[in-house]
Order: sequence, then structure tokens, then C-alpha cells
Amino acid sequence: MTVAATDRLTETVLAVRGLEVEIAVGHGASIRPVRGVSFEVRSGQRTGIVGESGSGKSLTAFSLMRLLPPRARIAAGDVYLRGREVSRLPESEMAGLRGGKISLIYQDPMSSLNPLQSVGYQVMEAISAHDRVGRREARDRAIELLRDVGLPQPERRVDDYPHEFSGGMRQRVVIAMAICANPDVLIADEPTTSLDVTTQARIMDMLAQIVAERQMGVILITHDLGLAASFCDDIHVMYAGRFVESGGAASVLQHPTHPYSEALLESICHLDRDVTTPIAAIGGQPPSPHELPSGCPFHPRCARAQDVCTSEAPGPVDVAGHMTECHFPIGGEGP
Amino acid sequence: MTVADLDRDSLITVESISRHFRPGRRRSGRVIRAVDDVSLELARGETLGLVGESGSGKSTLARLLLRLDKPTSGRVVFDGTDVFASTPSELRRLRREMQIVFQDPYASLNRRKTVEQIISFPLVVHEPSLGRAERSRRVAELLELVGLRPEHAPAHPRHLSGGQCQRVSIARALALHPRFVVLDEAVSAVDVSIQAQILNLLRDLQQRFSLTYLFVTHDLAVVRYMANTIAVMYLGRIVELGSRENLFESPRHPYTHALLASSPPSPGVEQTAGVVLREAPASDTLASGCRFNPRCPLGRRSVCQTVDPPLQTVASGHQVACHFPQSAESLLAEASREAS
Repeated sequence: MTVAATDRLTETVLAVRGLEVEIAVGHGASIRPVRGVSFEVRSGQRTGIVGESGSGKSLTAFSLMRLLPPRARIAAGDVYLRGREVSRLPESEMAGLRGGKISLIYQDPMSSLNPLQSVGYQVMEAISAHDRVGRREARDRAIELLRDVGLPQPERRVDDYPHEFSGGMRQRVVIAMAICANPDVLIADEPTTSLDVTTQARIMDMLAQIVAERQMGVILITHDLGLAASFCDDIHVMYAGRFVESGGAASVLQHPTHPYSEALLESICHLDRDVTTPIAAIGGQPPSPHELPSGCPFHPRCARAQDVCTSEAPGPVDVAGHMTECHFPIGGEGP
Repeated sequence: MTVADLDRDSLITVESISRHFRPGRRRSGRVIRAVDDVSLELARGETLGLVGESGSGKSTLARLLLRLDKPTSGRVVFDGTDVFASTPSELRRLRREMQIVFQDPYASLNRRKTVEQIISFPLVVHEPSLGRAERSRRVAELLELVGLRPEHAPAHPRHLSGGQCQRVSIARALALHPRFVVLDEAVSAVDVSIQAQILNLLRDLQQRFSLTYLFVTHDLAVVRYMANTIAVMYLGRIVELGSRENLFESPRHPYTHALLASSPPSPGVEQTAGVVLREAPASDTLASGCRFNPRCPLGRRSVCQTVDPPLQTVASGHQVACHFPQSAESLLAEASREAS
């Protein structure tokens, strides 16, 4: 490998610094579902953001795309896309980057496709949005892309409509649209949640192959720790709007240092667990951004919580190579 | 059916039930065999797990058991009563005995009603003689039973989390002391941490009230935790049926192998190469012979293309509908021999 190629491999394509998202809830009040998130993605790197619903993971994705809902806004922080700050760019400029330099795959393939247009037309539309190409060339490229994402007989299926495809095939079409301009960063927001397990495995394999070939940086947003672990190089565990643990995927899975990561792992009903004993479920509910607990947001559900956890929010500490936001991390200088 | 099967104390017997749909115009002659000649038994106090991909007919089968749909042919017998030939008074009694919890916790609750109204509605319908105070007392008991607090009674569903809504659905299902509960993807839409709570709750309730469950899901890990007996469905048929040990320790159908291979590995366990299916055909006409042949690694064999395999016993209590039932290792070896 040449020096130049190595450089490209380790190049930072996305850097997020202290991102905060605020939503106005009326009467001048607001909530902060994302409260200071920082991370980097290098080209070819697969990063996972794992959290439960309401943890702020999808809002993080939408704010990187600048596709926040009307009452939400980026309240603080910077987002650098290949070194260029984009969180305050005017919408006209952002529109050129969206889908071109950074793109998003949504959870539900049916609602991200227009039922009234053929899939070929929709892929061609995505191609011509970023490249001045003729109709014929756009069509040829659409067929090539559909072949790349594993759609069988793309030259025959290109004029079919979304309802003529299975859920897995629709998601392949959506992925083709997302990668058509070779973006630097690809965000996949629960890309396989609505699909069957057999389809899920095949789609993730295809996605892994595509991002390796094209050296994209990928952010996989999911609630499924198992999926994140098998796909990602690095994992950020998100809870109540913050990354509470960050580290290598295998390492976080085998030696979680934050009590929430550990509890989440233990609560997974996996194929090899003992069926005679109850699953170690995490008690209580994930906190609502409307009423965050004082101190560490996880303390009401945490088995290791002490007095200090109820009053002081823990800062990030380094434990066994992971960043952990906990006063009493597992494997740290314990309580 | 073996003698052992007859000896089991069964609550529900399903006899060659089918449900065919004719979509579009009558004359098109298209028939979707959502459920196609399925026979099953549900033993009292046990959980039968029904797994399969979307479109396999598992929800249609569940609806037939509850008489929420009518079969094209076949019978369902619930504790000696023919469900589809029952008189109105028998049916009224049956309705109390069998209940269902759906997948989507918000969609299955009326958002204009309070939790108390939702849970007490079955009591209003089936036990109209109950006084208001007595009903409130029963609702309070049910709330406690499913791990909710009395303060939740006046709340509306929108004030509750997904997990809490699912607990309300469970409380409503249990209000009339049923013997049989269908859990149709009941934990598929809730978060992981909440999923564990609900699964534990369901197992606990089953023990306390000797409930019989039909647990419908696409998640093999969850079905393994919940069910004693498991049926794997593919395009309207049961392709493998057996105890938890049979299914997970010595699966024999290629479709079961593929489902197991595509389930996410346990944390820390390396994913190994397993049986991979061919892409599903886009048409909705069934393949001739074995309906699984277009996706099966061995499906090009002539017997698979011509003869529809019946469910056959391969071991005690373990049935497989395949011409070549075998372990995953030997299937992979045969498939690679055939490919070369």
C-alpha cells in the first residue's frame, strides 16, 4: 500500500464537537435531548451509536444531516465534514452536501421511497441531483448501482415500482440512492429493524462490502447491541443524550466499564443464555428529557449508585481504553 | 400422530386448518395460501412458539385460533369445543378464555381512554353485574400484577412509555382470567432493556395462573427463552416442529438452519459461516414440489421439485417437512459438493 492510500484510510471525514440539540416545547420552555456529543469518524471506519428509544441517537443523526424537525435546533457544538464546519452553513449550501458528502439511510424503506415512481426513476433522480449527466447515462449508472447493492436482474427490475419489491429489496434500493454520489459519511439509522432476520444478515453483509470498497465512514444507529457489535469497529453507548461509554466494539462488549452498558448486555435475550433463570432486566424506564434525574442520569436504575451519583454528573474518565462517564466504573478504582 | 401426542393433555387442537385468500379480481384465479393444512396441539400450561419470517402466515394462524378469522377448511378445538361450530353462548364463554396481546403497544390501546377504562372494559362487557367499586378494585389488582402503580389508572396511553403500554395490554388480556393468551410479536416493538422486563413478567404470570401461550415472533432467541415447543413456519406450512432441545440442539430443516445462522451471535461469540438461503422469488405463486425449494441450498434436486414433503417424525416429538433432513454441517457439506 502506498503512503497516500494509507493516509486516506486514516483520514478523519467527520468530527463532531460538543453537539447539543434543543427542542422548543412551548411557553418559552425547551428540552435538550442531545447534551454534548463528541466523536470522530475516519474513512472506512464503522462507528455504532447504540441506545434505547429516546436516548437521542436519531436526533444526533438528523442534526448531522441538518434535517431536524421544525422545533428542534442545534444549540451548541460544531460539525466538521472533511474539515469544513457545516452546522451553521446556510441551507442552500447544506443542500449540496446532503446526499453528496453525507447521506442517510432511514429505518423504513417503504416510506423513504415514492410509491408513484419507478425505483429506477428515483435512483436516477438522486444521481442527477449531484452530477450533471444525461438521461441515458443516469439510467446506466442506476442499473450499475442497483447491481452493486445486490438487486438481481437490475436491468429488468429498474422500471418496477416500490410495491413490487420485498422489504429487503426496497432497502437495497434506498441504499443505492444513498451511496450514488460516493459520500464521505453514510449514516444508517436502524437500517434493518423492519426486516426479517435472514434479510437483515444479508443486507448488513452487502453494506459492509460496499463501505469497504468505497472507504466511506459509516455511522450505524441502532438499539441492537448484537448488531452493532458484529458490524462496527467502535461503539458509543448513548443514554439520556450523552455518550456514556465509547470504545472498540469487541472491547465494550467483553469488558463494559459503564454500569448501563453492562446492564444492557445482560438484558439481551441471546441464543446461548440459560433458559431456566430470569433475564437480568434493567428496572425502571429510560429517563424522559422532560425530567432528567439529577446527577448521573442513570443513577435511579443503577445498582452501583452512591450518594455522589444523585448530585454530581460524572465527567468522562478513561478506564481500560474506554471513555466512560461514571463515578464508579467497572474495572476502575471501585467504590 | 403418535400415542405420546394423544397422551399429552392438550388445551387446543388444530386439525388441518387452511386459510386461503383470493386477492384482486375473482376471475384472476390467484390464491394466496396464507395457512395451508396446518395441524398443531397446544398443551395446557405450556408455551408454543411460532417462528417464521413476515408473510409466513404465523399471525393468520394465531388469528384463526382466536376465531378472529374464518378458515377455508379445517377445525380448531378448544378444550372440547369446536371453535367455529360453537353456539353464541359457547362463543361468549370462549371469548373470555382466549385473549391476545398485539405488537404495537400504542396502536392497540384507545388513546382517548384512561388506563382504568381500558383495563376495565372486558369486565364491563363480560361481568356487567360488577359494581363500580368492585371493578376499580379489580383494575388496581391487575395493575399491580403487571408491575404498574395505582397512579397509572387515570393516565392516558400517551403519558406512558412503550413498555408501560404493553403492560396495560397484558393487564387487559388477563382481566377475565383467560386460560389461553396469544402473544403476537408482543415484545418486538419495545426496547431491549424493557423487552427483558416484559418477558420475565410473562413467564411469571404463566406460572401463577397456569396460562397457555401461543408466542408468535421472528426472534429465535426470544422464542427459545419463552417456549417449550416450537413450530417453524414457512409460506403457510409448518416445516419443523419440536421441543426447545430438538429445535436448538439438533435442528434438521434447512430453513431452521438458515434462521439460526442469521440470528445475531451472542456477545463475545464469533459468528460462524452457516446455511445461507438463496434470494426469495418475487412471485406469489408457490413452487411445485417442496415450497421451500427456490431458497434451499439443495432445492434443485428432482424430488424436491416434484414432491411436497409432509411433516415426518425424525425423533421423539420432533417432526420435519424435508426430503433430506440433516444437521447444518452435513447440509453445508452436501451443498458444496453439489455446487462443485
